[in-house]
Amino acid sequence: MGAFLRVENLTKNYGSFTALRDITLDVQEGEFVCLLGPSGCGKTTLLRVIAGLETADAGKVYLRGEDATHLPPPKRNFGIVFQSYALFPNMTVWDNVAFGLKAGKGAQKISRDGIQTAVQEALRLVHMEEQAEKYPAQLSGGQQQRAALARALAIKPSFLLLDEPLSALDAKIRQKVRLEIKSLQQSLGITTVMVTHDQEEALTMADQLVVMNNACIRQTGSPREVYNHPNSPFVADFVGQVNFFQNIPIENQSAELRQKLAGSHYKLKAIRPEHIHIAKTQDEGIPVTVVGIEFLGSGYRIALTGDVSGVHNETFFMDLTDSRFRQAELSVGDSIRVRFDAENVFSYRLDADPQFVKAA
Amino acid sequence: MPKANPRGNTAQKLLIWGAVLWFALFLLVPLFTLFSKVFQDKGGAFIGLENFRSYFATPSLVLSIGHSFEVSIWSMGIAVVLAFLFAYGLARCKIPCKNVLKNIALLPLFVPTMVHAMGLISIFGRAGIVTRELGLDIGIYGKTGIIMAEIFYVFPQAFLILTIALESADFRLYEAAAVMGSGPIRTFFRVTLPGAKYGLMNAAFVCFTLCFTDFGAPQVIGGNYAVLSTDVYKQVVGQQNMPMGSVVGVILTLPAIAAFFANRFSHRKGAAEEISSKAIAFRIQKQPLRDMIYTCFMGLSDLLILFLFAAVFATAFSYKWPQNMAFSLRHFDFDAKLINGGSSSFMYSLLLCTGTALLGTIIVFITAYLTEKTRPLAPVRSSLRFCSMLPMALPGLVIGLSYIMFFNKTDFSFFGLSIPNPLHGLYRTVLIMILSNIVHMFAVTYVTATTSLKKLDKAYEDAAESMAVPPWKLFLRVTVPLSLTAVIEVATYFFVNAMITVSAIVFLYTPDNKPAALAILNMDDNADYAAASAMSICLLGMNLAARLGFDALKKRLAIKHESSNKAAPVKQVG
Repeated sequence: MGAFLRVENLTKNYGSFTALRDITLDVQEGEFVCLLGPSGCGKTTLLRVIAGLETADAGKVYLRGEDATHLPPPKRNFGIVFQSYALFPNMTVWDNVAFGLKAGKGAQKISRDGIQTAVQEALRLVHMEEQAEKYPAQLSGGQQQRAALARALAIKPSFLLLDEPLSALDAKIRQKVRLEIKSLQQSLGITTVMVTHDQEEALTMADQLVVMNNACIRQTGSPREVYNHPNSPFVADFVGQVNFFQNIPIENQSAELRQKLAGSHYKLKAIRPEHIHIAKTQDEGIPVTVVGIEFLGSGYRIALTGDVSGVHNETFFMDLTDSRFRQAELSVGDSIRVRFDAENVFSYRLDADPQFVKAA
Repeated sequence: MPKANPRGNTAQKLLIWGAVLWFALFLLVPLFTLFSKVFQDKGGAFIGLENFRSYFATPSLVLSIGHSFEVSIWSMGIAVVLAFLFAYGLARCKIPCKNVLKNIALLPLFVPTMVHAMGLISIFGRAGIVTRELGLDIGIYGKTGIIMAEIFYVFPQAFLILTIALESADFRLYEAAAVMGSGPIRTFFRVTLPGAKYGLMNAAFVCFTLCFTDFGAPQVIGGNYAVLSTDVYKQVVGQQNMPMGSVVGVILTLPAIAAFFANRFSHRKGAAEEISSKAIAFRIQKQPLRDMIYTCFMGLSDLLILFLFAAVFATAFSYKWPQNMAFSLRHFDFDAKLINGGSSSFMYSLLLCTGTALLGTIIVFITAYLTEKTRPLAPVRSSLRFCSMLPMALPGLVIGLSYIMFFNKTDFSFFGLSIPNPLHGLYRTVLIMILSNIVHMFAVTYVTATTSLKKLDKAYEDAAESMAVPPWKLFLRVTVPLSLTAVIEVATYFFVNAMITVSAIVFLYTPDNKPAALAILNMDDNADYAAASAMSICLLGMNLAARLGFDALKKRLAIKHESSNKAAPVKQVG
């Protein structure tokens, strides 16, 4: 078994609620893996089973190829950062970081100087040397987050677990800390598993993205793969924006698209807003009406209606860059024609994720 | 698939089983002994429901059931209404010197209920000042006296509960009501009262249970008006009829248990209506007329309480109240009054209270920690939770009675096999009184402890585990330091209440081992009200001193923690 961390056929129930259903996942050494999914999908439970903080009802956990299913958490040698940070408010940052070294089970083996050096090193990594004597309540959210990271790293873990580490931060700081964590992870080369419900966070940070829903893994792959080739309506919808159509009329489409539509048995089609374009000529694409214009800052999102599928007047979205929008001079009520980017149309079975199938 | 828990912390499991053993030995088995006594004759032979038959065939005993209900319902009704008004004044009105008004109203919590009754006797009794000077005899001995004494007793408890209920209202509801043009009366009935519904129910439950099970006040002022609690005492101490005492004890317990379950049930139903974390604190607006009325009401309530205490003081310090009101300290010569347990009873009280506070706080906190913060043995822990709350429904008399029955047995026989009782050695010691007190006060202190522990981040345990820090180190280094306020509150409650409790230990003390509260009862039995009053004052002094000491400690620890947090400038953008 080559994987650094492997979970195999994990299943976990809480009474009648299934939190994990037959989960299998490989994490390579040095990889940054994001578990992404809506709340209640089982991603945090999976992280806690990997940590040993929960026990699965069935299945195995392997660390470096060895069965670790029943290994207690301290023996798995990981560092963890919680959503709440769980810093001890009655201790300074220094004492928090040193706690595992002083009070942990291996504490006798570490000399006083060893602790000193380890804490200093951990604080240096997160640029918190200056704040060592402060109490958690005196720190900003971002500093608390870094203190928690230092505490997790101080015990020299062989892998790192992050449970929604950024969700308590303001949007601006979140972007900054996101970069910091990623570059720290890369420079240390430490295997990391992070749980998040924020798709942007997951896309920007992950080497491997694991999309979960209803206790199952729906897709794994690099962020690019998952975004560009979502394997199901759920993933297409959860990662990024997407429009669904049941029957796209073949007439007036490009030859390429016509071929694609005709060749597929799968009746549910999906396309992202950035892959819909304004038609260049009057006999290309399908006629639609502009019903709304949203300014997004970097561009525009245009709400359109038209008889795209069997459903009359359904609304869907098209994204335009600033320059394209100004070229087109769109306003609400305009009738235009749009064309779909053939290679970026996804096809799914109607029964794949029934919630995305609209009643005709 | 084996479900071996990787967090199967052996020490925690042992502690959990230890807590089970604690409840088994000091709550469940004694209770079982008591309940099984009900079906036995004096010799211990099984006689089925014969005891109940003879109980219900004795009209004088059956009468007490009605009496107990009557005084409890009256006291509860009056006390809850008065307490609601008082709490409304505290929580919703602009009142000068609020803290002084509140603290005076808390005074009745620091003395045994016998003292309220004694104060009433000094005023309205046969030799009371009102009776003698005004020639007005209101017939204080009996129903009237019990109800009045109980109101003094439960009023502070009720207004504390109701103040919290009224303080935790969401001000946005009041703003919305005002915007919609709702007048003050409509707002009161549509917003204020429904918001305080659970507080009111809880207060009613607490008042009813306290009055129903109280022993001190009816014993002192009840006269010939017997209630269930005095019947238990009469049967056990007066007539040495243990089986009949147990029958009355069981009858005394049943309504309390019914009320306990009703209260729990209603709370479970109401849990969804809890106030949201986004609620805005109530902002008190000035309303001169309303504020004046409430100030007068609260002042008057305090005056009545002070008047009662003044009567106790006057009785204690007069040469002979009320004939000769010359100042005298002769009633404070306790050793001349009682052959056993004069001044020495203070030492016993101090020992009892310190022991209860120390041991009780430790046991309660460990139990709360085990039920809230550990993971193994979930079903066992939820039964621990139930056992912790159960004492709320158990009268002190019943706990005490079950203790003598269990601990004075030298051996148990199971199917002809005789096993010596390993705990018989506790009988007639101060330790058994301490344990009885701890069990008696377990529910209230346990709630305080769990509430505090619930506020701590659950992830502390996970974080410690990831760092290979053993749970006990986390408990000592983080959990306890962060719960210090609650620890001190629990210790205070144990200390103050161990000082004033009579019911849980009235069957357990020995002549050499007599706490002050029981010395008061003895003096009262000897009709020496003056000495009993004098001792009550000493007891009040000790309790107030203890409370102030604990408060000072709490403040010091709190400031220490906070100042360390304020040492450096607070926010820095990270």
